[in-house]
Amino acid sequence: MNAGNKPQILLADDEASILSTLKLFLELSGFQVITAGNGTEALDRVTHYHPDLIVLDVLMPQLDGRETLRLLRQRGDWTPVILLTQVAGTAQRIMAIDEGADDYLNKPFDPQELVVRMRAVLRRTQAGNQPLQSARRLKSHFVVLDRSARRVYLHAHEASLTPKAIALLEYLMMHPDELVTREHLLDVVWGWESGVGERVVDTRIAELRKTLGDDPTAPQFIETVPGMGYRYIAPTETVL
Amino acid sequence: MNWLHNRRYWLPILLGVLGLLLLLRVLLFDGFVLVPEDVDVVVLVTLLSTAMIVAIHMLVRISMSHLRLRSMQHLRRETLAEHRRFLSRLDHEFKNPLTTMRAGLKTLELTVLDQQQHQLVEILETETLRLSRLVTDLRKLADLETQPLNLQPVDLATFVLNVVQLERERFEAGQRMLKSQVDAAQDAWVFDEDLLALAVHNLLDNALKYSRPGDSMCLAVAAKEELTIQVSDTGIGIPPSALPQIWEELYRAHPEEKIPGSGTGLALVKAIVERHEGRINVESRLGQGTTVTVHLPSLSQD
Repeated sequence: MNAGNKPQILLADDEASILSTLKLFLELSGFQVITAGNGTEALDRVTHYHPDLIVLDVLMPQLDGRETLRLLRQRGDWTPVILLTQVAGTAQRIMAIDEGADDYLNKPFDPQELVVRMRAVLRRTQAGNQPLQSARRLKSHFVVLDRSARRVYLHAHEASLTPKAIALLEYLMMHPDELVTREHLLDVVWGWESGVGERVVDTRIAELRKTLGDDPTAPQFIETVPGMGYRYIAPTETVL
Repeated sequence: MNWLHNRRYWLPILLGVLGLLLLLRVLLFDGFVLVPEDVDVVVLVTLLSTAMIVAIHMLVRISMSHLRLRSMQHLRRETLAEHRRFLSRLDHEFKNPLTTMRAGLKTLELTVLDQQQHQLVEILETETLRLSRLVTDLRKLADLETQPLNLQPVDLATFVLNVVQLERERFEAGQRMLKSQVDAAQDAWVFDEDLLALAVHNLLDNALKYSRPGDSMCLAVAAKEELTIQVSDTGIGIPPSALPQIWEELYRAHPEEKIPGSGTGLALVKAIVERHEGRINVESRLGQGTTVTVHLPSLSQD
């Protein structure tokens, strides 16, 4: 944590108008904001200021967001990163382990949603929890998710789940105890959002609940937050 | 023996057979012929060459029309691809300004505003959100063309049950009857479940939007040589003049009625069906209702 109890955020985007409006909005929302216009500049700022969180745009000239993130992780820096993605429909790649981002938002996003995501990421990392985004295997209760093999085991027996359900479970397990809206799930797991499409999320959640034997009225894993979305309430740990 | 049924082959065949008969007569019964044989030979040659010419002419015409059709299909595909490229570029150029606008408006909301200013900001936010949705929908359409399909066998009864369960509440709230029916010779069919569910939800969404309380809708799924998914309603119908355009992006058949939507729903349905190499038909009568039928061929799993 940096000066004055306010979390310090590094905001990197090549659009000056986005930088100035988002900076102002985030400052009014209680953050301290420094900005960078491209990836190289962002890396410099990180070494200089050690921000608590980085919000990184993917499409930037010279050094793009993904490359910047890769270089950052390569030098052993695990500062949490939220990627502002530009291309949809890439759920599997978006969640790739070696990418190591903590969360994703598709442009144009609801600025309020960015603040919600930022607070959740900060809460998770400041609690001193192990970073989940680089783990190959995640475990909660009797459920083990092998992220590289894309398989789920219940009590060490492999469960049959659709690829989308596995991706959904992966996102939920990596964001325990966070309220996640259907819109956001659709955005990160499916890669697109729409009023009608949101029902697709409910279908997959139902599939997960059935497989995990989770009772929606007394959930052990996935809790429905009426009118808002879902929350993964089981603890997640990394396993080797 | 397809060519036997084709009317345009009859003339050359007839001429050819006549010529062959004459040739046979000349060879076998030459001695019994009363007419001078040179006439026979002239007639024979004439008939055979006419048959040849007609046959060649037809062959050329047929192959030409094939070529024309192929180049037309190619052109259509090119135009479609160009159209999608345009959509995706449009989306790309709109994204950053929209992000700025949304951030700016939210910032304004956090500052001290009087009643009037607050109202203004709210209106601007609603409209910006609408524009964002539209851009997202258009991108989704462009993505559909390239996004890999997740082809898996899907249990049809469960598929319909899931769709109906998710829609029931909305239909009941709108006082619409929703029936469903599965008539399947086989239990499962291979398709991208999420995409097809999206298509069916979009069709039901339209049925709901373009109907009145008390109307009823039916989702019927049948699987035989092909899979047919039919969504019919007793709603307000589509004017005949609008029918050809309903699959286009941003087209609204009833612009005068203030029905919410961006006009991308049916374009999306069409794109999803086409990715599955299927066809889609619509029949509609103004004031009586609409029936949309999706036909999907059987596809093999990934």
